[in-house]
Formats: sequence, C-alpha cells, structure tokens
Amino acid sequence: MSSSCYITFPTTFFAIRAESLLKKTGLTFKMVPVPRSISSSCGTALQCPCEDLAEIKALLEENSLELESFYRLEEEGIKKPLVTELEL
Amino acid sequence: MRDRLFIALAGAVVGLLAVILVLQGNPANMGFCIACFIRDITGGLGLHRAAVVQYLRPEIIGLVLGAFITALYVKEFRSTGGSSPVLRFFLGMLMMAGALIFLGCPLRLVLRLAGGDWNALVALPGYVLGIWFGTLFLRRGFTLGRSQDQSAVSGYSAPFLAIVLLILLIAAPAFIFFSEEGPGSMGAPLALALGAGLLVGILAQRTRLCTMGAIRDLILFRDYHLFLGFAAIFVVALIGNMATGQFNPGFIGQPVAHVGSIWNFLGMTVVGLAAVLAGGCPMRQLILSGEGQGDALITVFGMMAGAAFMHNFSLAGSPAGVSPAGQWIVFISLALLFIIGAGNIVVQAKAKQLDKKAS
Repeated sequence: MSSSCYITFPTTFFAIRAESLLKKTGLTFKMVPVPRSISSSCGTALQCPCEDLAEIKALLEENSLELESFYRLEEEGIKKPLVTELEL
Repeated sequence: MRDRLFIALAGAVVGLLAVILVLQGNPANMGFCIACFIRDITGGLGLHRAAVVQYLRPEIIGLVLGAFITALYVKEFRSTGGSSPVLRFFLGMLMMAGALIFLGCPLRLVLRLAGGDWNALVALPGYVLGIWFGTLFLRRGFTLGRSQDQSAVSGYSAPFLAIVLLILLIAAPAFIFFSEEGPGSMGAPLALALGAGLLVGILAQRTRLCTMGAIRDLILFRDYHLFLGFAAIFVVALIGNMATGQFNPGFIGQPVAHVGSIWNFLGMTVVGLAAVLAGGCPMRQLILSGEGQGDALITVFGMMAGAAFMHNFSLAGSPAGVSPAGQWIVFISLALLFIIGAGNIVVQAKAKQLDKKAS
C-alpha cells in the first residue's frame, strides 16, 4: 500500500506559483491533476510525501499563497483509494 | 493506477462507440463530434438555416443526461456559476467558430486522424499551439475567477433542456428542422445514439476525460494522465476503422473535410486557445453543465450562438474550403482571444509581489 498527500488550490494560478516556489527548495513534490477520488473538478494539485506536508504548507502560506484543502490518499493496487481530508 | 486504468478504458469505449455509430449511420469520421452535433441541434431548432446540418442529435442529449445522472448518484452534482459568464459565452462562440473552420471539435480531430484524414494531422499541431498559447496566459495569472454556489434551479437547467430536446426529437413537431440531405440527414438509430451518449456521459463524468486537458497537462506539468484517455480514443478508433474498412488515408476527398491546410491549422489554434481559457474542450463543457455548472452551460450557449453566426453568414468551412470572410473570422477570433487572455491577467501584480517576498 502506498500513501501520499495532496494540496488543492482555489485556482490554477496558485498551483503554478506553488510549483515555482517549491522548485527553489530541495523538497520532493509533483504537480498532478486533482485525483479523481478527491474531486470531480479538473484542477491541479500538489502531491508530496505526507511527512513533508506540514513543511510545504508552512512555506506556501509564508509566501501568502491561497490553499484550499489537504488530503491523504492511500492506494492499494486497483482498489478504490482511501481518501482522508486532513485538518491542519 | 486505478484512475489511469479507468481513463484509458473510457477513451477506448469512446473510440469504439464512434466506430459503431458511423457503421450505423452517422457521417464518416463523425461518430462523435461535439461541435458538429451542437451545430446540428442549433440548426434543428431553426437558429441557423444551413439546410444540410439540422438535426437534434441524440448523442448530445445522452452526454448531458449521462453526466447528470452519474453526478447525482455519486453526490457530485453541484449548482454553481457566476465565474465571468459573459466572457465564457464569448469563449464558447469563438471555440465554435474555430471548430467550424476546421470542421470538427478536438474529439472529431482525433477521429478524423483515426480514419486516415491527414488534414487532421495538419490541424493537430495547430491545436497544440493554441493550447500552448493558453498555458502562457495561465502561467501569467489568467483566471476567470471563482464560481459560486447558485440556486438548485440553475443547476438543473442543462438536464431540463436535454429532456426538452429529447421530447422535441421524438415528437418531431413541424417547427423542428430535420435535414433531408447532407450530414444532418445521416444518423445512427435514435436508441443507439442516445445510449452511446449516455454511456460516454457517465464515463466522462467519472474520469474527467478532456481533449484539451490532455495536452495542457502535458505542457504545464508533464503529466500524461488525461492524455492516456486521448490516446486510447485514437488507438481503438484506428483499429476499429481498419477492421471495418473505414480507414482511407489521404488528404483529398475526405468526408466532411477540406484541404485548406492553413485554415485547418489556425482553426484548431483558435479552438485550443479558447478551450484553455474556458477550462475545457466542448465535450467537457457538456459534461460539466450536466454536473450543474452554470458556467459550462453558458459556454455551450455561446457555442450555439457561434454556430448560428457561422452558418447564417456562411462563414463556416465546407468541403469546398474556407471562404474569404471565414478566413477573416479566424484572425478576428485569434485577436479577440488574445484580448480576453491578456485582459484577464488580474493577479499579475500579486504575482510580482509574491516574487519580491520570496527573493
């Protein structure tokens, strides 16, 4: 089973800003379409290891980026992934 | 993994159904064409008078209802709207203008490619170029703004209209137009076309299949998730066409197509750019309108207005090519899209401010 965490944004603009900010750091992350199991809308989300989530969130907020929600997704093979919305 | 499997499967089903619909009577390489079908519906309602393209296409009705029922069932139906409706209406018009220059929406572009129509091969880089331009606007802060929750009545508008169209199609009153010749007179049996639309509506709602997102995400984030669906449509339709003798490679004599390469290329550039700014290709707009998004429905209305405009003034392309007035429309559309794009970079100042803070 693999799990990873996701941050969603109110508009694509903030997602693109987040990408360019985080590129300057050594943090591991990836920009992906919002996973289908999280939402039916077609925005862009930031995927990162869950242990880095707090650090990334702090960094983005420090730079006054608007963030929407935080999720943990646990996937196992082709079974339906388990989604947990995180309160941070 | 599961998501990827599912979107490839959805694309494959769309490709397969497209081949079947053509075998059962739809115009060649037009198993599905959202722009053409919305144009046909516009004509069926008498809003344009091009006698060869008038038919209340059941596929469109099915797509909207399929997405609506699915969204209700999985509790994703949400009545929203209010994100730059006027601009979305114009974007819909321009998207349709570009599609009717090329003679097909991006979905039909893929199906034309799969049928061996090399004019679509010329149009594809044009589409990618339009999307690339669009991503430049996105990177600089283009946004149409957030949508807000609307009253439930607003959200039910699209499925309501779909049902009205279905009743008109079945009852066929005298004021509804049905083409007696040309592409508008060709169609698969109603039940099959409606069923195919429903199935694709369900799959597209579940997977967010989008022919613009496929290429946008590749350019913006090197993400190939949506592209898998796009590619699957092509591969399955290609195999299906080859197996049923519908693969006829070449430029000349292709069904519902013309050989004006410049206009095929630029027409799809218009569609690509308009689709990025509007946040979805014509098919995706239909699906979102079924999910209750008023912003998407406005875009569809814009597409209908665009279709009426293009045909009433004889601006649309035809197998004979693109008229001089139609060629002007291409440049006017591109200019308007650049104005809309540049005019909506509202957060530019904020971006600069953020940069300063970061450094």
